[in-house]
Amino acid sequence: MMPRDPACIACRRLIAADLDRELSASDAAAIAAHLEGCAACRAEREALVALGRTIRETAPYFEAAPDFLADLDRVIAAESARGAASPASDPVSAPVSSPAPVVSLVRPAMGPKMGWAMRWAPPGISLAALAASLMLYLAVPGPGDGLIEEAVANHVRALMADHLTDVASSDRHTVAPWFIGKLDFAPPVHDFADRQFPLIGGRLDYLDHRPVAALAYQHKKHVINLLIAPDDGRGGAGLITEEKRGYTVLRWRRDQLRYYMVSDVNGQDLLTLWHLLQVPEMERE
Amino acid sequence: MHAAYNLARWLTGTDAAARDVVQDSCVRAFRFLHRFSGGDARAWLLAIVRNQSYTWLKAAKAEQALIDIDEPGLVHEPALIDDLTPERALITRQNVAALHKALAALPPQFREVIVLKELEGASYKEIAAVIDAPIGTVMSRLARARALLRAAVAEDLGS
Repeated sequence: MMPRDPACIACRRLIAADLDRELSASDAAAIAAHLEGCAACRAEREALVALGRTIRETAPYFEAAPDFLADLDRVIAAESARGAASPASDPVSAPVSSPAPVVSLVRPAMGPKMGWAMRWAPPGISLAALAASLMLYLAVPGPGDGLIEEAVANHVRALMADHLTDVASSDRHTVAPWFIGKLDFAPPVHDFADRQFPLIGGRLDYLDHRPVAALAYQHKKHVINLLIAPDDGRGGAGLITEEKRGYTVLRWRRDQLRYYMVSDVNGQDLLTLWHLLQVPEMERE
Repeated sequence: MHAAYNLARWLTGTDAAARDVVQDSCVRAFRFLHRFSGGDARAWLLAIVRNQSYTWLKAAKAEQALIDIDEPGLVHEPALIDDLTPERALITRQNVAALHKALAALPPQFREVIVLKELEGASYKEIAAVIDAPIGTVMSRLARARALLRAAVAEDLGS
């Protein structure tokens, strides 16, 4: 029955949005109050709940097959190679000096150095960051290694204990040598103060049952922790991004090391730092 | 990438077509990266996948499926569910098959909003970005799509 009561008509119009969690708190409260006293609208709501739940629980979700994802990787790699061969002539990237920004989506498995082969002219950084954010969706990240949660815990603990640095310095020539003798690997240390990511310092942290290097960066008012550990070959090779308890974590592997970047800053800003870390030689010595 | 594939697969109906569509979409996304104006990269990619899916559907002579819909008056969706008691319209495990059939048979404009909302968990805002329509349109299409599905299932029960 189509309801006659204006209150019911208003309610019916919003029930779906309420279930979809799209209503303002006041509208949702009004709906709840009406449902309290209206069996017909409650039944309507039940029917919608059942429909939504059944679709979510039973309708097939078609995942892309692994062989197809591998095909895609090749196609995109070819496409990016093509882009590199002929500098883009579109009006947007034209002001960027050649070579055009290129993000290779070839995964490291296809060649040791090709993996993160990225080149761009310094002014092109925003375009490159944009390419990377898209890449997060295009590239096929491998499985995680289960340490994301632990990396977040380290980040939180460092902030809570106010123990961000054992060696507080923005000078990488102070921070890098500090790790010598404390770790059995040499973490690369870079400062990006001129890019709004100043290095605050370094400390020893503990991840996956072993001591690791932790670098703290500042961005605006936020702290970014970068954990660096020797690569154990676990997990996928690609850049992985994950949200955990309001924190964003980026994980990647490069040159026999694993990196976990954790912060509450937005993913775009983390990607910018990630970019800087891929080509630290941009840093003006 | 799974989201892209799932959408393409639901819109085109076959794995072969979904592969073609997703591959074309990725190439286009890469080529037209400079047109990406910031914001939600996932929605942007899904919008390309959606457009490519429609292009494919058209090429497959499926234009008849693209019913021109009239937006006003759809919001509370009376006609289809008026004569259904809630009990009859209630979806149960027994008529899941009918529901799936009805979903696959929905016109693409309605199928896509259901897929994005229920299977992808997208917000109205994200769906609006993907289908390039106002949020009001997203809401009315969802309402219409759900009413169509309930009617189809009820019909199946009645038969």
